[in-house]
Amino acid sequence: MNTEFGAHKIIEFSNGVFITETVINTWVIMIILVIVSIILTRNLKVIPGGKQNVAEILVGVLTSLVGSSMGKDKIGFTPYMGTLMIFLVCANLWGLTGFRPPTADLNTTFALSMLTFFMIHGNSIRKKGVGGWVKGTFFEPVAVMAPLNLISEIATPVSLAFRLFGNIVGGMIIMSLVYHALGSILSSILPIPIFMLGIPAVLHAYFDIFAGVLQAFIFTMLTMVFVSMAMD
Amino acid sequence: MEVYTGLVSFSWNFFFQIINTLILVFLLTKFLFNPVKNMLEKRKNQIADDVNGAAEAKSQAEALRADYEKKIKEIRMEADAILKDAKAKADDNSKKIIQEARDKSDDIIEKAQAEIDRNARNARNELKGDVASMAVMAAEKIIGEKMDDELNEKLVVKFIEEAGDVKWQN
Repeated sequence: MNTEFGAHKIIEFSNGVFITETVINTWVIMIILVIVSIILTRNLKVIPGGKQNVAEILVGVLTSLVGSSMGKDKIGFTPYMGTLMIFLVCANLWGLTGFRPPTADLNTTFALSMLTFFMIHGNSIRKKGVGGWVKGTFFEPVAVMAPLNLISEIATPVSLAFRLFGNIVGGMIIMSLVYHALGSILSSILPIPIFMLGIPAVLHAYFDIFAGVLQAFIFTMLTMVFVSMAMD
Repeated sequence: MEVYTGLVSFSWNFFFQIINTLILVFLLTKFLFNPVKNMLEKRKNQIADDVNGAAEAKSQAEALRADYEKKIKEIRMEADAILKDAKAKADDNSKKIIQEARDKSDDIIEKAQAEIDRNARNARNELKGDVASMAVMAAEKIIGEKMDDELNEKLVVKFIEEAGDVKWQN
């Protein structure tokens, strides 16, 4: 049994920089999403039909989600939040293909949570100015709270990243242990690994589908709420 | 070469993933969100245009209809007037024709009546003469001798006239 749960290095350059399977899987997901988008939105008509309905429902649901959780005035965040949601759902479900989900890597989850972090503060400064940002972020409700507020602001991306990473990597490790356990039980009793057929499906439904979709939703919702709160 | 990275370890992949995410946001915006958004906006505008156009067309149609109804009313009135006029003219004409016919027939009857009267008078006068001479001839035969013709004839005529016109006419 492989006891290493870190990401596999795929390409390593001579200067020590390497590319892991996380990045490769992300590229695959990106290519699939872009191709699907192009297919769905090819030859859009005013009178919709077939695949165009799928594109319209997808964009419509994401737009209304952004509109209801961030406010109608921040509907312009739809492309970012929508992409985040779509990518996270695909990345979390990527475990079902047998490959490593890109979100089971701190580099991915921290990349996303740092983008959220910069969006929170960037938009806050853009909306309120530097003075308003400093006052609104650190000196509310009273100036004494500043150190705690600072910790809170730093904790936001850390908690976002580790929540997603923990859920996905936990599921991945548990599934890996379950497969090995079922395999080793059976190899001592039966030569055919028959128990590996049905039992993991239930656990996949929970760890990959349920937890994956839920965590994608939570990450996106929290990003929307934090950004819109910072702007109000 | 180490094949696996640590489970909780950072590397350049952190920056790669940031770049990947930004690229994906850009691509999905370009290929999914913007086309659909533009299409929905286009549809919204088109529907608004259609609705406005329909309202305009409806008001136009209503105006046209009112116009046509007015025209039809006018035409009907005109037709009524023409019909009335024609009827009056025809009535007049027929009356005139009937009057003419009546006049003509009256004329004809009158003329015929006159002719008949004249014929009757002639016939009566002729008959009177004939009867008188026949009476004289009969009387001559009965008496057997020639009477004074002129005297006798006068007598007979007088007798006949006394007997009355009515008897002759029947």
